[in-house]
Amino acid sequence: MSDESVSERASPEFETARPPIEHAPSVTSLDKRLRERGPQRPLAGAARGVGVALGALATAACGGGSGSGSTSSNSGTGTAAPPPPTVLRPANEAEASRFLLQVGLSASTQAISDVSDQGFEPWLDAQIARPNDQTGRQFFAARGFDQVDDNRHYNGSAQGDYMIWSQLMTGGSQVRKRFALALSEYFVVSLSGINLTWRSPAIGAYWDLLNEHAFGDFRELLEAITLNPAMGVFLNTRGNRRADERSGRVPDENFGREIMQLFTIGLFELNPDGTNRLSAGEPIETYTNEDVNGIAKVFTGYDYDFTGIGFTRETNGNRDIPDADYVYQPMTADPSRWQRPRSEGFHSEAEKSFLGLTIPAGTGPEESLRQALDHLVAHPNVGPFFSKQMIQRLVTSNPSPDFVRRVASVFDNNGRGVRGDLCAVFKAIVLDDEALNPANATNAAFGKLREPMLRFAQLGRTFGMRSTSGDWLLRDMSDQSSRLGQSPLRSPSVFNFFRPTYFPANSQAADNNLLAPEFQLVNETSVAGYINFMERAVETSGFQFRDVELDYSSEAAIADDSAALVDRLDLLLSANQLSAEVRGLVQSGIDAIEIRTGTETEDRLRRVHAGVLLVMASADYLVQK
Amino acid sequence: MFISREAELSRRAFLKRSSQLAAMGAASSYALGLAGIGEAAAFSDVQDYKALVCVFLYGGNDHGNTLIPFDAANYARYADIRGGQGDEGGGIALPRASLANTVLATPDDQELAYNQTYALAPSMPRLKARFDEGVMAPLLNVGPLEAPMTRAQYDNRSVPRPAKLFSHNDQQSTWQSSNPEGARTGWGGRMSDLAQSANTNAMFTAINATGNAVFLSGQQAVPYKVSSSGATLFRPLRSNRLYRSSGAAQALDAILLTGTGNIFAADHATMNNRSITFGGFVNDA
Repeated sequence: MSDESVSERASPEFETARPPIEHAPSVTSLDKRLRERGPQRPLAGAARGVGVALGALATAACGGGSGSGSTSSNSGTGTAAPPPPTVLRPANEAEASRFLLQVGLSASTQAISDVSDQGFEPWLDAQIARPNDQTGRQFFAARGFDQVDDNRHYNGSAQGDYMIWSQLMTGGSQVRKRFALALSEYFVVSLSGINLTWRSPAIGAYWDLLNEHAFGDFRELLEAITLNPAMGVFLNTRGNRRADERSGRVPDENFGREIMQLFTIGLFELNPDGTNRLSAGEPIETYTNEDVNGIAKVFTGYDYDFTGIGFTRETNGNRDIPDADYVYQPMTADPSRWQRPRSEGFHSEAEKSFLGLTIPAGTGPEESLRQALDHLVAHPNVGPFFSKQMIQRLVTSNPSPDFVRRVASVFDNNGRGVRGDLCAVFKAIVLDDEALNPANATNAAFGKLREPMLRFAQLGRTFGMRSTSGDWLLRDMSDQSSRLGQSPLRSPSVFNFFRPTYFPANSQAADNNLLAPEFQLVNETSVAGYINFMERAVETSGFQFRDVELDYSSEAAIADDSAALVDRLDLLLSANQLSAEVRGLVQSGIDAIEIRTGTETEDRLRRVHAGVLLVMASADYLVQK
Repeated sequence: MFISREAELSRRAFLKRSSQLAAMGAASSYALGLAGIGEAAAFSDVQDYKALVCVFLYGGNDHGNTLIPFDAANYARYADIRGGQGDEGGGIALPRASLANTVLATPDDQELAYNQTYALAPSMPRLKARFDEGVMAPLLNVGPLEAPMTRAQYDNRSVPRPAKLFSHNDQQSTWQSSNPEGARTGWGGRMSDLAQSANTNAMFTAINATGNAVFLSGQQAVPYKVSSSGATLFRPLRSNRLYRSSGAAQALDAILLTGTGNIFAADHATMNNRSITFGGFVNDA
C-alpha cells in the first residue's frame, strides 16, 4: 500500500464524516389501508379495521391540559360513553397485542379482549383517564423508606431502584407509565448522577412528576422539571448564582444548554417533518454560545424550598436530616424559604438575551423563567424535535417524515388551539396509521429494538411478578456483563442510554441509512449478559431475584401441549411476530424437556421457563415491529 | 510544549507509517491488540505483542489542578486566576509548597517556552514516578482544532471554529473522531482499519472495555467489547444446559443466530454470532 492510498482511504472521512442521515427511507405505504391478512387467527366477533382518518380522532378524548380538570367523555369506568362514529378495532388478537405492547408495558388475554371489544381509541381513552393511583412517594411511605432511622435510607440510592421497579412491574396505569418512561429518556435525570440527601425519594419525585404531567401540558411539564430538586442537582440549577465580576465567576450553563439542546429545540432548525432545514446545503444551527450565556442567567438563584420541613437528628450520628418531603417541593428563588434563609437571593437581574428574546435588566426570577420557557416552547422546532423522539421510543426508530409531521402538527395545535397537549401528542403517535398498520410488522426497516428494561418489565407484568417482602428488592441493573445493561432512571448521562441518531458501525442498519438508537446498548458483552440475566430472571433464581416471584399457572396449565404454549407466549410476548422458524425452535426447546412421572409440576414449569427464555432471546421478539 | 519535530509526530504521519507497516506485513501476528500500530509508532521490527491503550474520560477533569504551573511567574498567574494569593494559594489554587514533591523535571532534550515548569497535583505521586521513569509525558495544547487559531481569530471568527463548541456530547465525539455526534468513524477505528490486515484475527484489532464509543469504529474495523473481567460468555451455551436441558440449550443456540425478515433483527443476530464466536477465544488468550 502506498502513501497515496492512505490519504485516499483516510482523507474523505476526515473532511466529510457527517452522515447524510436526516431520516430513513419511508417505511410505510400509507395507501395500504386495506390490511393484508397475515396468518393470524381472527378474533371472534371483532369488527374489522376500516380505513379512517385517525388524525381527526386523535385528540378527541384529551382534556384541556393537566391543571384544568379533564372532562374526558370516557372517564366513567363501567358505562361507556357513546363511541365516536367510527371506531377502529384490532382485526385479530395479534393486532390487539401489538397495540398493547406499543402503548403499555405488557399484554394480557384480558386486555387483548378489552381492546378488541372497545376499539383502539376508546380503550386508550379509558386508560388515559385513569388517575395516577400509585406514586413513588406512596411507595416510599408504605415501605418506611422515607423515615430517619438506623437504615439511613437518606443516604441510599437502592430504594430508588426498588421504587421504579415496583412501578414498572405492578399496579397503576401501564399506559401512563409507558409514556412517563419515554419522557424519562428525553428529560433525563439519573439516580446515578445525583448526590443529595434523600436521593431515592428525589428520583421518585421526578418520576411522579413525569407521570403527573404525562398527559398534561408540555409547558407545565417543562417548568416542573426545571424546578425539580433532582434535576436541580443533576444539571446544577440548584445553588447556581449570578455572575460575580470581581472573581470572574459566570452562571453555570449546564441546564441552560441542555434545556435547549435536549429538552426543547435541539441543535438544528427543523422542518415540520423533523428533517433539517438547510441553508446552502448545510444544517442551520439553532443557537450560539452567546444564547447559552444569555439563557443561563435565567436559571440562577434557585435552591431547595425548606418551607415546612422539619429535621430529625440521625441515630448514632450528629447530622440533622431534613424531612424527605423537601425533595417534592419545587426549588425556589425566594431566599426566605431556603434552609439558611437570606434577605437577598442570587438571581441574576442582568439583561438576559437569547434566541431573539431580551428579558430586560431588573427582571426577577419568576418572570424571567416565565418568559424564557414561553419563548422556548413557542419555537417551531419543539413539535418535530420532541415528537420524533417520542415516536422513536414508542413505535419505530425511523418514522417517515410524514409521520413526524402529523404528530408535530398535533403538538402545535391539538385541534382546539392548544399547543403542547401531551395527551393529544401521545394519541397521535400510537393511533397513527404508521404505528397501527399491521403491514409494518413485516416491513424490514420498521420497528425498534426493545430496550432491556422494557423486556424485564414485560416479563414481570406478563407473568404477575410480586415481591415477597413488598420492598421490591430489585436493584441497579446497569451492568452489561451480569445484568440487564440498562436500569430505569439510571442513564449514564443527560444524553440518555443512547442517542436518537445512533446507528451501529458496519451494520445492515448503517448500510440502509437507518438509525438504531437502542443498539448503542448492544455489544458482544451485553448480548450474552442479557441471556444470562434472563435465564435467572425467568425462573427467579439467584440473589438478584431473591425477593420476587412469577406466576406461570396459566402457562403451566398448557405446558403439556408445546404448540399451545408457544401460541400463548408468541401472542403475549411478541404479538405473534415470531417467524415459523423461531416458533419451531422454541417448540423444540420445550419438547426437549420431558414431563416425567413424579416430577410433573417441576417439569411443566421448566418447559414454561424454556419457552419464555427462548422467545425473549429471539430477534423476532427483541425487535418490536 | 515546544516540539520541533511536529511533522514527524502528527497524526497524519502516524497513519502513513501505519500503512507502510501494514503493506510490509511486518507486524506481529498475535491476535489481540493493535500490533501494527504499536510497530508503527516505534517504526521497528519487533515481533512481540503490542497494544495501544486509550483511556477516555467522559467526565470533567480540572486540568488546571492536574498539571499545575510551578515556575514563579506562571504559578503567580495560576494562583491569581484561581482566587489565591502569592505562594500560599487559596481559593481553589493549591499552595505552591504542596507541589514540591511532584514537580516534573523537563527532559534534557526538550525545552518549554518561557522556561515554564509544571507540577502534577500532589495527589498524583504515582504518575510522577512514571514520569521520572521516562514512560509518561503530558501533551500540552492538543485539541481538535480545524486549524491553528489565536484568541483574536477566535473572537472575530476569521478561522473556522470546531463545530458545536461547549456541547459536551459533541465535543466528546469530536475528540474521538474529529466530528460532532453522528460521526461514523473515530481515530482508533481508522487506525484499526490500517492495522487489521496485519492481525491474524481481525476481530481483535480494536477492543473496547466500556460503552459503544465512536472512537473505535472504522470503515471496516468494529470494536470488540469485553467487560472488566474479560469476555462474557452465554452461560447456557457454555454448559450446554438451559434449565437442565441440552435440547433447550441447542434451541437457544439456533435462535440466537436467527434474524430474518428485519434489518435490526439481522444486526442483533450478527452481534450474537460475534459474541459466541469470539468470546471463548478472548478468555483463553
